[in-house]
Amino acid sequence: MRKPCETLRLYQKMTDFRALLELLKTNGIEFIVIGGAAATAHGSARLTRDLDVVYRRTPKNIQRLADALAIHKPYLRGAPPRLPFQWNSQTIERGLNFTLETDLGNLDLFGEVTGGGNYEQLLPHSESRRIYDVVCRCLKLRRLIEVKRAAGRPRDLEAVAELEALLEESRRATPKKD
Amino acid sequence: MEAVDECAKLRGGARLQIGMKRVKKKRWNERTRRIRNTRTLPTDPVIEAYKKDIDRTLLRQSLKLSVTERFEELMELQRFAEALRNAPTVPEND
Repeated sequence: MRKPCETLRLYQKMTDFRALLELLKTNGIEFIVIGGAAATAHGSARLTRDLDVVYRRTPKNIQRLADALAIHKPYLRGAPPRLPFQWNSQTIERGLNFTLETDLGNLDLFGEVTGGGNYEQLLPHSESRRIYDVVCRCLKLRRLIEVKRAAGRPRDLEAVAELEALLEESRRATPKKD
Repeated sequence: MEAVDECAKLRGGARLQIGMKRVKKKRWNERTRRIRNTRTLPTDPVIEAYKKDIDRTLLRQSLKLSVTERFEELMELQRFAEALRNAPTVPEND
């Protein structure tokens, strides 16, 4: 029998997609869901362990992002502990893409993505999706495939194949709307 | 009286023309939307090779769900994967 603390530790690695999306949305952050989470929204059956978002790089949005995440102890994922990493608007302004681990799980923030560009460039290729009770922008399936193709990572080949199969299947099926 | 009838006819004709224009526009939009949707991506032989092994039954099952249901399933899968990763080995005599 597992002790409660062990159970808690067991689930710590999980990403709470709902909480992360709610956090971003309630703080008025402008973002577009991309990557595995967007693939899930389109019907992918693959397992993803982080939430990938492209955020708008305006001073206001950066400030909101810094404030919203600050209480959830963001830290660079995979980095050695006790690095002098400070999460604030200056850090976001100086950097571009951040792979973070937070209290709510893994969150990847992208200022720009290969083959897709920044928030403004991706916005016309996104659509509103209701995930839980959060209505957020999600990259369209076609664009998601193009971005994944452009990234050219060998590990994405299977994911791209699945997304293309999904595109073919979704043309045949009529998906249930939220 | 005839002049009134003529006017009514003209008005009716104009309305018909407007209606026809709307129908044509609607058909045009429908056609362009269909073309846009069916526009194929450039084929990649490597991806095509991977595509053959994709389990489409899972995709069809997933497409029947709502977005929220898909995320709930994903979280459930995450929990299960974590539980498996942390599953302790039980000695044979237990």
